[in-house]
Amino acid sequence: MKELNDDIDKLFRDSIESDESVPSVRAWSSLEAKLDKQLLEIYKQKVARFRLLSLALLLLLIGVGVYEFTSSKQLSSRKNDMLVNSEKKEVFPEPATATTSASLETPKPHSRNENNVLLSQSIKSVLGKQVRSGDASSRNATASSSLSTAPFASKTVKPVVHETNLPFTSNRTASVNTGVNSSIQPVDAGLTSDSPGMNAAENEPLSAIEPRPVPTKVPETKASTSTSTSATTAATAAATASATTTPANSQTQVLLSTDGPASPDPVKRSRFSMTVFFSPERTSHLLSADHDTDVDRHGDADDDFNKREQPGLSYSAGWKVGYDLGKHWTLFTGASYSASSQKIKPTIIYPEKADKGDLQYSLSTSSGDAQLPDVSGKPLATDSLTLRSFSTQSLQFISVPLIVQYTVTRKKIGFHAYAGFSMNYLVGESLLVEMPSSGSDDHPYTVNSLTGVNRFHAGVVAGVGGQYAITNHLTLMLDPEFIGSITAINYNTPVKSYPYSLGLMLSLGYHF
Amino acid sequence: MEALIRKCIEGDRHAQNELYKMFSPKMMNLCLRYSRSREDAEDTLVEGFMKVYENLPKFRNQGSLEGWIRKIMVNTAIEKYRKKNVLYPALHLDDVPEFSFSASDVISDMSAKELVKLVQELPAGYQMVFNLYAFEGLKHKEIAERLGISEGTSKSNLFDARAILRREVAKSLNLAKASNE
Repeated sequence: MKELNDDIDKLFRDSIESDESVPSVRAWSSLEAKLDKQLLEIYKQKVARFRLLSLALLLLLIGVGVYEFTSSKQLSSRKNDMLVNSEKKEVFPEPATATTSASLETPKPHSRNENNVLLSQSIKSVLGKQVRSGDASSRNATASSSLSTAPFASKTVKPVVHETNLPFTSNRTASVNTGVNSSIQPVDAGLTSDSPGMNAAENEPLSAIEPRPVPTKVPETKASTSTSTSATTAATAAATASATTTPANSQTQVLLSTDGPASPDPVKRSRFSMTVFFSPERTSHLLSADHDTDVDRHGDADDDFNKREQPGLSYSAGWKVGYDLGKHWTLFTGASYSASSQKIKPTIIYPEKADKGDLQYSLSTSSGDAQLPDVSGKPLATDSLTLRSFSTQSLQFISVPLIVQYTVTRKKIGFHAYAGFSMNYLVGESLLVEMPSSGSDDHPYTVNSLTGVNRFHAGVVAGVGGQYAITNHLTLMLDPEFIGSITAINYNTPVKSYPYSLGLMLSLGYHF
Repeated sequence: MEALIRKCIEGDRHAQNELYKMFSPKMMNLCLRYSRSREDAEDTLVEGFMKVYENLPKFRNQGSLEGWIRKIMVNTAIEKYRKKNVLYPALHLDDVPEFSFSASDVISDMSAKELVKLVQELPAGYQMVFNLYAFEGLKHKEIAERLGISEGTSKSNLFDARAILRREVAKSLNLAKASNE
C-alpha cells in the first residue's frame, strides 16, 4: 500500500513538476496595474512625508519666532538692568557693600533714609535743568545736586524718566514720583537740626559741584515750576536730607540715575533670509493648436480639450532663500514642489497603432497621450472602449525660481511685489483611469507615463502681497500669486499646453 | 541575475517584466496545481509576483532565486486558501475500488495538463494537502500547522486525495484504452 501511495505521489511529481504553463497576457497587465498602483501609493506617501516635513519646518519657524519674540522682551529688560548697573558704576565708582535693595516691582515702605534719597533724586532732576538754563537758583540747586551724588544707601532705581513733583511744605514733607514706582508715598523728610552729617554737607565746596544731566524726557514745565516755587527750600531740604542720610559707615547704597533709558542697540540682521511657503492653487492650461502635428486626428484639438478637461486641485510648497540687495530689494531663489491635477470627462476611445505596431487604446490629454493597459486583451480595429467615469491626470514639478522682490515697510506692516522666472522639471505624471476589465465592472488603473510631455519647461512668477513682522526676524506674508509657463509642457502633440495657476501663497520668513 | 534583481528593486519596469517572463511559466504551473481554474491560478501568480517584487530587497542571493520565488508562490496559495476558509466536503470513499496501473502507462497516455486538471478537481483541502506533501515535501505536522488543521486531518486528507487520484487516473487510462480499441 505504501509503495502504491509513493508511486502515485511520484507519478504526479515527475509528470507535472517539470511542466511549464505560460500565463495569459492579462496576468502581466494586471500585475503591471498593481505595480503602478503601488508606485502611486509610494508617491502619495512621499508627498505626505513632504507635507509633514513642511509643516514641521513651519512649526519650527513659528517656534523660533515665538522664542525670538519672548527673548527679545527679556533682552530689553536685561539691557535696562545693565544700563542701571553701568549708571551705578558711573555715579559710584567704589560702591559700598550693599546689604539691602528695593525692587521697583515690589515696592516696600520707605525707610527714613530711602525717603531722603528719593527726595534728593528729585531735587537733582529739577535742579539739573536749572543749571543748564542758567537759572539764578542754580547755585543752591547744584549744591543740592552734588550732595545727592554722595554715597547713599543702596536702592535700585531704574533709569526711567522721573516726573518730579516737589511740593515742599512748611512741615517739610516731600512727594516724589519716579514715574515708574508710582506706589511711592509722600514721606516725611524728617529733617532735624540735629541730624548727623549736617555740617559735613554744608562744608561741601561748591566749586567741586558739577551739574548732572537731566533726563531729556522730564517735562520742562513741571521741573521748572517746582524749582521756581521752592527752589531755595528744596535745595536746603535736599542738602539737609542728603547730609542726614550720609553716614560714613552706611550699609546701604542707592543708585541714582536721571538719565532716560538708552535706546536699545539696533538689531543686527544678516542679508540672508529663509522663507517657507504653501500655496493652494487653481491650475488651468492655455492651449494652442499645434499645426505641425496631425491635428485632424482630434479635429479642433484645443477646443476639444478645453471642453473635456476641467481644472482640479493643485498646490505648491517649498522654500526660498533671500538675499537683501538693498533696503528694498531682495533676490530670492529656492525650490518648490507643485502638484496639479485635471479631470477628464468620460469619453469613448478607439484603438490606435502603438509604437510596436500593435493596436492599443490610448487616452489623449492636452498634456500628452496615455497608453492604456490591455486589460481585456488586444483590441481589434473595430473595437471601442467607453470610459464611464472621470479620469484624473496629475503632473508634479520641482521648480527653481529666481525672483526679485521690492518691499516697503512701515513699522510692522509691509507690502511687496515680486516677479521672476522659474525652471520647472517634471518629476511625475500619471493618469488614473477607470475602465472595464474582464467583467463588466470598472476598475481603476494608473498609467504612469504620458508620451509627449517635456521634462523641462520655463515659467514666470509674479505676485503682490502684504507682510507682517511678528518679530525682528520673523515675518508672515500673504501673496496672491500668478505662475505661468512661457514654454509648452509638451511636444509633438495636437495642442501645445501652457499651464498657468493662480494661488494664494502663505509664507513665513526668517531673516537671519 | 544580480543586475536584474537590482534593477527590479529600483522599480525598472523592463527588468520586472524580464524576471516575470523568466519564472512565470514554472510558477504558473505551480499555481495551477493549487487553484481550481486558470483564472484563479493567474490571480495567485499576480499576487505572488507582487510579493516577489516587494521582498526582493530581502533576497540575499544565498540560494536559488527560483526556490525563493517558489516558496513565495506556495505561501500565497496557502494564504488564499485559508482566506477562503474552504470547508472540507464529506466524501464517501468506502466504495472506491483499488485501481492498479503502471507509471509508464500514465506517462505515455496522460499529459501533464490532464494530471494537473485531476489535482485541480480535488476538493480544496485534499488538493492543498496533496500538493504540500507530494510536491513541497512537507510532513503532516508542518502541513497541519500551515493549514490550521490537525495532523490526523492532514493524513486522512492525503489518503483520500490519493484514492481519488488513483481512481481518476484509472478512469482516464481505461477511457483511453477503450477509445484506442
